[in-house]
Amino acid sequence: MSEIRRLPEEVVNRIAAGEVIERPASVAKELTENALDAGATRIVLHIEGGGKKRLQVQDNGHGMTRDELAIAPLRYATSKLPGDNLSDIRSLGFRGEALAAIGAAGRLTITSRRRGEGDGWTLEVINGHPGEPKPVAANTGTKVELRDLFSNIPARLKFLRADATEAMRLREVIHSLGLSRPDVAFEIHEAGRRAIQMPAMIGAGREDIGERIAQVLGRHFTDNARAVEARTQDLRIHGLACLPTYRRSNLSQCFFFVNGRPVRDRLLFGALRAAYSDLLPRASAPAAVLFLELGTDMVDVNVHPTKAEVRFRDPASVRAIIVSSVRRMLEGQSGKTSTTLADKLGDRFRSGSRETATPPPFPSSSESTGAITGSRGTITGAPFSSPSESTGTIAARASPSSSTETITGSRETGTITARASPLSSTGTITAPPFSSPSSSPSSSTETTTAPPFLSPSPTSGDTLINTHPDARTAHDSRNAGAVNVSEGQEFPLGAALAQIHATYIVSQTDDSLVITDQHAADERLVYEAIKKQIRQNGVRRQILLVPEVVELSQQEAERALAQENELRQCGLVIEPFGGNSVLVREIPSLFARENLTELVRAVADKDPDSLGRDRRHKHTHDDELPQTNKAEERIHQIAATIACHGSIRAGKKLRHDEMNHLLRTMEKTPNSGQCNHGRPSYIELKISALDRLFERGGRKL
Amino acid sequence: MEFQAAKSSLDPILGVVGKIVESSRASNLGYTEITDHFLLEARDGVLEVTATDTVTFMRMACSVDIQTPGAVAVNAPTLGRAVRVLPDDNIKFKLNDEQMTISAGRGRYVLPTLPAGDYPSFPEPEGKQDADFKISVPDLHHLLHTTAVCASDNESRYYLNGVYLHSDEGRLLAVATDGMRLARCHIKSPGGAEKMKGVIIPRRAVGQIESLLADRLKLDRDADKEEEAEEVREHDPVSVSTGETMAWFALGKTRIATKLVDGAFPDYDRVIPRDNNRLLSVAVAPLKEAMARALVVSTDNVSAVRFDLENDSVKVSSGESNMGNFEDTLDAAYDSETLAVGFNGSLLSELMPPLQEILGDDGRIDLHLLDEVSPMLFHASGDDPSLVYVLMPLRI
Ligand SMILES: Nc1ncnc2c1ncn2[C@@H]1O[C@H](COP(=O)(O)OP(=O)(O)O)[C@@H](O)[C@H]1O
Ligand SMILES: [Mg+2]
Repeated sequence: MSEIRRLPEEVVNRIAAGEVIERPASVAKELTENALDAGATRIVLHIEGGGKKRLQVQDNGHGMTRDELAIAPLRYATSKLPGDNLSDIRSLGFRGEALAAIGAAGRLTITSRRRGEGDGWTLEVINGHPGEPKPVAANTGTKVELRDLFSNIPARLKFLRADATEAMRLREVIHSLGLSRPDVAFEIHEAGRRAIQMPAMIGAGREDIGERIAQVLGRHFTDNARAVEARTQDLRIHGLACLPTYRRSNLSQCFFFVNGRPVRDRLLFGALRAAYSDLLPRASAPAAVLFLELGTDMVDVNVHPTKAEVRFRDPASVRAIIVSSVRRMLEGQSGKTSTTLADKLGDRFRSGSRETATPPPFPSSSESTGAITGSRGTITGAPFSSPSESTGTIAARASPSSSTETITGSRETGTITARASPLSSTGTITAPPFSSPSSSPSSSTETTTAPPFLSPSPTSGDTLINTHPDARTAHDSRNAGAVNVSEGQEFPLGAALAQIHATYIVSQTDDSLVITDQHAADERLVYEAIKKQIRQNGVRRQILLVPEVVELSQQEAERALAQENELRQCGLVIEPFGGNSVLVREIPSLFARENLTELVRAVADKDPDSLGRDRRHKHTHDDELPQTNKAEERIHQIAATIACHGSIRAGKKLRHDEMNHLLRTMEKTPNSGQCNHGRPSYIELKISALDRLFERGGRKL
Repeated sequence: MEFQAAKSSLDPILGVVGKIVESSRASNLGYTEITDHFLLEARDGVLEVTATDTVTFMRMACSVDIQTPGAVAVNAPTLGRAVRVLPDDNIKFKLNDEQMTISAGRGRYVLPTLPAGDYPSFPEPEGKQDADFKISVPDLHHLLHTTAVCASDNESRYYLNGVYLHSDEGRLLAVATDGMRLARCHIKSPGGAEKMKGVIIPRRAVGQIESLLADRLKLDRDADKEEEAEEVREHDPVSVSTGETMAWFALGKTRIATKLVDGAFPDYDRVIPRDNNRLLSVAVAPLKEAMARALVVSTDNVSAVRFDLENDSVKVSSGESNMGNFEDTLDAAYDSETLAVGFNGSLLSELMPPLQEILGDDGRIDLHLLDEVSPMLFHASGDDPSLVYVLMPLRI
């Protein structure tokens, strides 16, 4: 057994290096924080080899004297705790550990000239041992250069990733420091090429962050963000938070600063999520840049070597101010009301998602397929009506679009207006209402009931509810009851009656009313379709006539391009287009016509490495995981993103046949009771529940 | 304000002008309380009715008997319906205490109004415009009708949300694209349009203009089935003025003013293929029908349709083996090597009607192809086509 001994300083520093310094990004963070602490207004980073080969931070702060420089790289040497008071920390650094740790992790050179002094001094740290400062010509300020990070600690070197990935992480760190200080100019040069430039916002106070946020996160962020501001006796919060519609797939666009210090703290993220709780689907994350200010005695920043976490004296009130201020902003954005009736109704509805375990009773595709052969053409397909079933149902099923359902409502008051016969063209684009008006005097005099407003043109949009023409009159539907019953049995989701608010499809089965969220439903369908195409012959791609340029933030562009291959497999072909732009050449045919910028941005939102990283937490033997699994999982993620953005939006008017098509496809698709976010895609209300709601007695069917 | 109007002249006007209100309601675009109204202005023996969605303004006029001139805004859907169901007669309008009394026979509506001053004013051209020209109704209709179908409705590429009207080498051209297909149509430039700067007319305004022109063409056809049709058109051209941010169209007493799409239309010329060396010539009517059949078994939102070009025939097929599929073979003139190419069938079939209208039922179209991933060019058979479409294939 070996004896206990005090470790030599060199070893101690190396151990500490492991805590403070994990990768080039952490070196850049410490050095840039030092520069900010020194009052710099311009900070320039030069990196080579992702910061592994060379990483230099130069500032124009107050610099160091010869004597200060001599001790700066020693462990626990700091100028920032004047009263040794750990509960009153106003600077970013205070532990006095960083330079020592960095000195132990590579070849460090510090050059500095104190403001107001003539000489500059330079000093090298070799193997953790600072040499003597030597005089040198230098500008006011400090330049710290680290070469060959971890070349002496192979165990850590192994954990570093590809140069491009490390450089990306480093930029993320600088971006987040940049967000906290719009008054300071930041630049990063990579291999001599300027990669990031964040000019100082002239005349900006520290709180004028709008412009800087736009620089870092893109205009799209600021366009979708609203101001958050609140104050209590000892707490203040301010910043920007995005509308729920600008949702991200992870927290990569959530930034918190506590007294100006960037922190990634679970309490804060949790509070933010809580503020958005019922506004965002579970798998997505909000986006915000928020600054918390509180007394230095109210928060302990000395919790973690990298100072990324903090501990609050009063976590509950911190949480409360975040939730309430963000919530207030969000509520100001939408005047959502709920009536007692709706609540009461809600109790009677049951969610369709719990009801789909059993496969719907459909003519399965294993049944005989009919072939239609005309002159020279053949149509083969799953039968619309299977010959084995009772003939009574055939008529209804053979033309699901000619339903004769009931739509109730007072047409006189205009709350429910029937829509004239839908266009029967097959395109998904609806041409502008080019139809000619049939407002000739003769046709108008023939009308006896309240005529539709203006021309009864097919595309007439003056409707709150779209209904099939056959469904317009309430009275002739009673005698068609027999058809309804059989139809209901055939189609669990019933026959489409109407679309309300261009968002929900209302359909009817023999004993219930079904309301389907068209977006949630279609999202699942598109997702399953893409997965199927991937499994079979690959995703069908529409080649674009005019390739689309999509502008992204730098980080998004990099992430998107890093996954070029996976994207291609999902049908999205992109290539770099200079600056922060990518060029989209081909899109999944299923995706046609939707907002490409949104899609590419959403895909880029997810760090391609994160999957691997998440797994590392779950499985300790990350490397044993088959590479293909990760790749496949990632591809499914991309497919889900495409589905989310490419599916029928809420707000899109659907023709009657399109509604029925959607319902019929849902019935055939696995998991169609939920969208990809796990929200229900339809709800069903039994007619008996409706009867109870209206306090009607028993119904005779 | 007090006047009398014949139902037969007022009702059609409300129908046409009201379409703007209708479409703005439907899309929620530019829909506000005031734009849900018609502006009525009575003076000098004429009643002018104006509607707008704030992007496009439309104004029509008819002769009326005016007792007291004046102006007021009345809810558009209500007025439209009211006039339609009143007996076919002279309708009396009288504004009293901010209420409009509308009566015919013994029936009488009293409707609330808004002050005319609240209504956005109809934009009038100021000073000299970039271009002023006259164009015949059929010509303008042809330009817009054949191209509008390709205009994008994807708001993320707003600069494609319209028809690009511009002049080049003595021709007036209309171009529209949605990024997957493109339409280009030209006519000989009418006098005064030779030097116009390109303008992008928003889709919805194009829709308004087109439907106005279609009505007029129909009227012309109905009015003088056999003779004089040409003459009527000659007499009644459309006056067009285009400026920096607005364009104006006037046909008789009807005027449309529209904001332009503020953006640069892409340099479309380079996407029109010139070296497509395989030529397929096929009759338009059977192709249109085959496309319609193929789309029956389209399984996805996008209906992939495949053409197999073989010696003197083209096989049109769609669907998947296990989901139902379709195939048909059409006679065609084709003598290059065989080629299989996929398309979004809906994109293609939407272009068939305008082609068929031009060509008639026995017309043929020429399709020029290079390979299965390059743009396909097609047009009515013959040289120097005035209307061409470009369609991008689907990788299948
Ligand atoms: N860029 C710089 N400009 C001026 N002084 C610096 C700079 N970097 C480091 N120093 C000095 O070196 C000390 C040690 O730095 P560091 O090891 O990072 O510890 P800490 O920042 O926690 O004090 C700092 O307290 C500061 O006095
Ligand atoms: Mg420090």
